[in-house]
Amino acid sequence: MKIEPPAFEVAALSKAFVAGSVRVEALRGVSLSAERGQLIAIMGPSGSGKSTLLHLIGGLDAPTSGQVRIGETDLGALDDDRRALFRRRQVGFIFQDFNLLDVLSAAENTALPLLIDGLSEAEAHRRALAALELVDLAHRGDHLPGQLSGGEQQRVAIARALVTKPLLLLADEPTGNLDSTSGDQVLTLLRNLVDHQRQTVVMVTHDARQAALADRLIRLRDGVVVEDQVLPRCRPFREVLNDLDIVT
Amino acid sequence: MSWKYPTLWKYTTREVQRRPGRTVLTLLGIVIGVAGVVATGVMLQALRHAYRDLFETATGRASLEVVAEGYAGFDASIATSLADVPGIRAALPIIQSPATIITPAGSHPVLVLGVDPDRDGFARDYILRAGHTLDEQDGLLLEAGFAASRRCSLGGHVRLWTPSGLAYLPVVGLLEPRSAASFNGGSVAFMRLARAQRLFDLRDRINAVHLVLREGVDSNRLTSDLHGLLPVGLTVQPPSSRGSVGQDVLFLTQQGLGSLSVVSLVAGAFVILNAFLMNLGERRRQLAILRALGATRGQITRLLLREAISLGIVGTVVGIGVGALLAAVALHIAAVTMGLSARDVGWRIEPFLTAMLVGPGICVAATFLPARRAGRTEPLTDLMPRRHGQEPGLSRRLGFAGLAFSTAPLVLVLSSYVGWITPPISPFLLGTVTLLALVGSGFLIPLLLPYLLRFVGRLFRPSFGTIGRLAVRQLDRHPSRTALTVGVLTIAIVFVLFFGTTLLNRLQDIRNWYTRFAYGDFYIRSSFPDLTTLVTGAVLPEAVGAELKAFDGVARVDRIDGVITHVGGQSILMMGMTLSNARTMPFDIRAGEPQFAAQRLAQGDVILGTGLARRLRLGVGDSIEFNTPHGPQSRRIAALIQDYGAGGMILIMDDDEVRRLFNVKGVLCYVLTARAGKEPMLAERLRVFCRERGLIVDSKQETHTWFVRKIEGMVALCWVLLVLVFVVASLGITNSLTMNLLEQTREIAVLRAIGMKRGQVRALLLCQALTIGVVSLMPGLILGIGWSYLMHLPQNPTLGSIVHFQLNPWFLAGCCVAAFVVPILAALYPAQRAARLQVIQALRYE
Repeated sequence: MKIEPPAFEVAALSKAFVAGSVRVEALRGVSLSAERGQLIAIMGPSGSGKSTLLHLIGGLDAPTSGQVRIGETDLGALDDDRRALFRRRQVGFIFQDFNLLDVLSAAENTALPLLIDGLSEAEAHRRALAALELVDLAHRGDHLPGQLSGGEQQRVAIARALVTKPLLLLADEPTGNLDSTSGDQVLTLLRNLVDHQRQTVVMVTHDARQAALADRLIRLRDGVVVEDQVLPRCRPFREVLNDLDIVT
Repeated sequence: MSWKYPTLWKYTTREVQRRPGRTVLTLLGIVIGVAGVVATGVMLQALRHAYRDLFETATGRASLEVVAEGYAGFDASIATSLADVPGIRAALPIIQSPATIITPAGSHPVLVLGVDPDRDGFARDYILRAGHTLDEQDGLLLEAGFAASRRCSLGGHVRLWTPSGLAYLPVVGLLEPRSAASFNGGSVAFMRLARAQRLFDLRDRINAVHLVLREGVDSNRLTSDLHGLLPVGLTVQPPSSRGSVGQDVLFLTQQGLGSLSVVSLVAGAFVILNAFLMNLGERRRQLAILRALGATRGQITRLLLREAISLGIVGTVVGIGVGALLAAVALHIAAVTMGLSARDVGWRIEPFLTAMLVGPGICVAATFLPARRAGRTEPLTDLMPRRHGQEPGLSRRLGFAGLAFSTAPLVLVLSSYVGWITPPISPFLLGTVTLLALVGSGFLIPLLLPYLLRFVGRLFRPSFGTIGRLAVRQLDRHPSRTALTVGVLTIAIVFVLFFGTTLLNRLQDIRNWYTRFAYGDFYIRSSFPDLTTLVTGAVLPEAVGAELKAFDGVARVDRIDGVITHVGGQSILMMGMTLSNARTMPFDIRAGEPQFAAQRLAQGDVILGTGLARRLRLGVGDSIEFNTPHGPQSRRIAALIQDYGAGGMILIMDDDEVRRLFNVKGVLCYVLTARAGKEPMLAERLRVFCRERGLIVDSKQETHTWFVRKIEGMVALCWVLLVLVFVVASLGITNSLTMNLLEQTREIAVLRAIGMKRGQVRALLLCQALTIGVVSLMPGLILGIGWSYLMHLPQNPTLGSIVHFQLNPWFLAGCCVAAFVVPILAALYPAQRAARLQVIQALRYE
């Protein structure tokens, strides 16, 4: 039987940068690996390196040292264009402030990675609508971001992240700019993707309640992993939310 | 990428539509650049070809002509012997001479072609609109349009001033404006050869043989073959050679236009670059999103370049239209100045083709590096919240490149002085050096900016207080943008100072020249000469001189004649003047002894234009050899003069000698000197005399006024172009200040939140504009004046002497005022926008 490689694996990962005249060590020798089909929460105080870790895993940034492997791909071996190709096909990003192009409609924003990848307009549009259907926004496909609520915009961003059927979904504080109702909808959506589609999701969050919904919790402090815990999850997600009294 | 994927293309077009102001500014940059290229290109091409085409029209299918030096007469039997030369299909004996036609509408210069009607069909087509051909009836053939405009009717009579007197000739036929009849807007009259020989006092002689070659014959080879066969004094040349002196005269204009073309392009490119950088600044996050989603560097670069090219295409189309309009006005002015028909100053396709490449080309040139840089920016850099701190300035290397570029004029001047570059300096070279000098000026700014800002900061502190300090600091915080803005204004100041000072000095020199040259009290001629070569100068019979001498009150009658001849292969204007007893020489003598010049002229020596002397490397005391119908002649040079006639390619000799050597018939102009106190009475009598005969009489003052009127159109055009340079600069500055405003949005909101009033915000922005003005003015003045001085030196080899360099204080003051006013005007809109910012919204601005 073939052993499935981990969704991602990082080894001795370090990242340093210079801010003004000060050298900042954002990550210091972090090693991790994650199975597929998990929701992994990364927590830590500001400046602990969580976003940096997410960016390195997503190929948005290059480490100072160490290795990042996604599936069978070693990101360190890729040049910039191949890294772009990798991001386009293997990774879906969800940002705190949505990062939709405000001159394009929801469907056009969702179709963007496919169009960049060279898919025909018609096919990209068809898949974009399917992705929007997943987030329950197919009926809002023609709306511009400015005509959507924050929660809807983030769901469009999730649809855009999903449209290429990526190996990894990376979410950087996806509910940070949302009210609690919208935030819960987004969390439910992410959890469902893991539960029903075996999607691997890595989510950076400040919120312990949201982290409690993950399968695994990684805590960072000063650029090192201080806690790596598999969370027990026996009950359906909805019930957990009910217990936590965050679903009304 | 984006053509293939319409959504991405939609993204681009929507971005463009979303910022109509910026799009219009970018388009204006392209439009100005392209319009400049089209207008100056059309002018350059038209001027380059005007005289060549003119004479090629007159000779029709004849591709060579045999002429004597000075277009003097020679034996008509030459045509018969040339007809037997292999390769020649027809050798047509011709009289081709300028004359003045007097019609009910007044007098007008025409080219008279005396032809053999039986054989002339080999070279020219005569398509009759009405009347008869010369085969059927003796008289004149006129072009129908010309005849109508001059109120000449078929069967009516016109008078023609020729060397033998005033001829009274019937108009026997009216021609369609085709073939030779279209010469200079129809200013041509055809008559039988025999009649022309009588009128032009040439009896059995002719003054040209037009050669129609057999198909496939190499005209260059035939030319060299014929040189061996022709008697001494005759030469074979392409018809366009008659215009070569005209082309020399236009050289300075071409140099100026070449420089202007380059400047309009540079200015346009700066505006585009500025607008594009502004655009990128605002879209950096969106581009980062595309990169995060997997767009490659190349895809981003191509997306941006395609956007730039699309704008370039739209701007080019509009620019071509604007350029064509400008060119039409400029061509009209040029045609009037040059004494050509506007119809003949033709439009050519080349400038339009160039513009089609240049428009999108300058867009790509201006945007390539920023687009590439945007593509190469790491997505995270622009996805992260912006750090609002000190930005890095433009590379100091750019400043050093500016220093290197700035040495270009120095190298040119030195090369010109040591003789590495022989005059005339081509418009292309001058344009390139101007370009380097201007770009160099712009690039020097990053080196100078910190010091200049510090200085202005100190200067403003007492008057503008906190607002002044904030304004300077804000500019200091964005050194790249500030350097770019200051660069645009500095380039504008440098160019306007350079071009304006050169123009003013040259104009003053030309005015001095003409004032000095207008030495007589009255000038009598049959038509006004064109300003360039006198090639269309019609002559008067010598008998008129005798009549004028008999007038009471005339102290002296002098003659001026002009023939075109050659010195060492160079076409020159040989001017004959009767100055042997002149009180003062009417020239600006730059070398030689003025007190003996007249005497030596009478002894057979010659006076040379400095331009010609410089080109031939001759000086006072040297001998010059020139061609005549009797073979080469050599004369000693008595003096060198600064002269604008024939672009400085002028040689002056005693008129009797010129008439003897070149068999000159008729007189170009009579110059009358009145006895003291007799001027008013003489003026009255001369007017009556000339009115009766269809002649032109002008007093010294009237001649001067005529000259000023002739050149004022071109001068006005130059000033309009200078104003346009400031308009372009103001576009660039508006762009930059708007960008500055966008970058300061949060800070302005903070200032508003802590109590700054709208008026103070407005003052802050205006103070920034004023700072830009002051900072630009300092290097602009120094570099502009310095380069004006340096660049006037290498232009002089064309004229061969130094044009007196002086700075006009009014012009300098105007430039200083413009340097302050332009940025302040450009800042009005951004300042208004800043004052209206919604505080809460602006605080959230990233």
